[in-house]
Amino acid sequence: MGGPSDDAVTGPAVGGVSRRGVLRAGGVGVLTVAVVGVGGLSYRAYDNEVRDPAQGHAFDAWRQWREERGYPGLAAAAVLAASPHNTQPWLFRVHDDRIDLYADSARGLGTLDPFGREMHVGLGCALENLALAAAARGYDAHVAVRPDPADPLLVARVDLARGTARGSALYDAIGDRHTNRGPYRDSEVPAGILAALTALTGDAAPASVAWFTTADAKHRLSDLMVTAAEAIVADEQQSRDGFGCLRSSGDSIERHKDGLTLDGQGLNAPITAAAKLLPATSRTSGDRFWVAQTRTVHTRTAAAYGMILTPDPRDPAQRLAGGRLLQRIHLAVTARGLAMQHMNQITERIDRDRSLARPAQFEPALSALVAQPGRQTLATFRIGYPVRAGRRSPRRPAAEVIR
Amino acid sequence: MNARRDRSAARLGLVGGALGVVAGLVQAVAGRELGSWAGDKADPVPLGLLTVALSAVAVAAGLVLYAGSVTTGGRRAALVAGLAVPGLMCLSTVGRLWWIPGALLLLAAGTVVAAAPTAVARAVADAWLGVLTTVLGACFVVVAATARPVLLVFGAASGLAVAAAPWLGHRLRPVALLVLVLGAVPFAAITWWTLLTLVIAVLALVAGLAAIRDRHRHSPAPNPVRYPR
Repeated sequence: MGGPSDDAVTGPAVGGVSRRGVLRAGGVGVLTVAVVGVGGLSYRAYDNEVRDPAQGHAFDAWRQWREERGYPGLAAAAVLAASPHNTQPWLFRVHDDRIDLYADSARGLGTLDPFGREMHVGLGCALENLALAAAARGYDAHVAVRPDPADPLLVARVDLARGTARGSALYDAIGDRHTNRGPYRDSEVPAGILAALTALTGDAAPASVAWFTTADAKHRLSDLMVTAAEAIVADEQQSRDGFGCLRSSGDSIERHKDGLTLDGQGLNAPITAAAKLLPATSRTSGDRFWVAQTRTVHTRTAAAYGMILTPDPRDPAQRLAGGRLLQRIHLAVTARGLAMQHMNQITERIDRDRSLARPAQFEPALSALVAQPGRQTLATFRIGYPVRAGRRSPRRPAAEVIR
Repeated sequence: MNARRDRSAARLGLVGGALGVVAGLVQAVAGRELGSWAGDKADPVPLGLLTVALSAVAVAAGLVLYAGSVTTGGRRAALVAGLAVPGLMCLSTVGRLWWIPGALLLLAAGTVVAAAPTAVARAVADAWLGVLTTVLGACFVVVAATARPVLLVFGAASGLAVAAAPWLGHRLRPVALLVLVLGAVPFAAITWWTLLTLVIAVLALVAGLAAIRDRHRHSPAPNPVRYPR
């Protein structure tokens, strides 16, 4: 810089400081503040694994489940099952000739699941994975549900004997099955696929599956789900119990290896990254987000709803049978390239009303929708063709749940 | 007086760095067994190796100090960074194992500053835009740290390029510009969805271009600062 243009650029000096000098100092100051802020955000990006989620040890169970041998390998498949709010309420006791499956009573959902309905459904899901893995790895498995009435926590005994390996598409789908809370494409699920999924009921009796595919049925069920979601967030204790399952930082995911994560919400990549960079959400804003997602994504883009029905959802054995069928359907859906999301807000409100001995607000409407005398709803879910793939959820590895 | 302080700082730095290397090796070998003493880290091996590498930088800074070749404010500031950055960063890599090495390194850095605070402050102020650019390069490395191996290497290389660009030789302006752009743009482009890498890249280009322009506008300091021995 030099010559006559200098004055024009730098401006008159005031008190020995040129305008250019002031502007430069201001610019450098702003840049410094910005760099400090970006430094903080970079650490948060590191801490919350913005770049590449699901790389930590909390996700090892997904990567290593086929490598585990023997009975622990069966448990390694079982821990990848679906569970309510990813609480993973299971414990395994490995014997020489059998595996006992126990409920971990410390892993309940509180007022969201006051009677353990969802917990037993989750245990049924784990039992199904275990049985599929046993067959695929050359064991003949005999499952006895609630073998000891004196021990309510012992939910199943799986006797194992050497047999011939029988692999299956369901077994192969265990590592790819994830709950997908993102939007689904505007495509119907072909009737043939629904029929094939219904056929999975097989020996799951007394559990069965019902489908809701017409616009009217889906609309009525969607309305009921949104209303139930609003009721849950308005119920402070249910809201708190749900919030307790959220894992909003990388540290908490690695520490607990359970719960719901931002990556599992089905959001697109930039929104997920922004959510991870921002301060952790409060309970109330998290509730608002969930209700909004239920209204605008989960219910609006559901290609079909499914319901697992049993004669008496209060019977733990029926819950286990329903859970096994639910897991089987989820695996079959996964194997066909479809997505699935568990949506239990209606039954959570039904059980909440019952636990408080209040008049039933949701049960009559749900029964009218199901319209199958002698059968009641155990669990509800939606399926469809996903816009984006589901993400892995954190898991406690088998070694942590074998006693 | 300054020479004596530098010698003291060198000894502190060498001992702190050596203890840091030991702490890093202990973390890598037995971090899982040490539990909270080693910070309860999920990945003790890479963190231990990172600690060894950063401690080696501190040892190198201590050796330069010990050799007594600190002739300019800029070099003194660089040595302060070589001692203080490992001293601070490793607080989050090896848990309580870093308490003594970290304290020694930070004490050493403070002693180096105390020997010629004005020269250090002036050097840092003169090169402030370069410092900011280097910090932004480090941000790239931090953001990439949890990525899969290929992207981790790419992100680390990009970060190092951004960090180094402002400090390339006076006669290498085109090279410095090329290194800055190649460091900032491709990594941000392929990780655009994180949003953060885009912001880092924009800031790095603004700060880096200004730093390179400043550095190449001014010739090297004709009169190196000399300190009495």
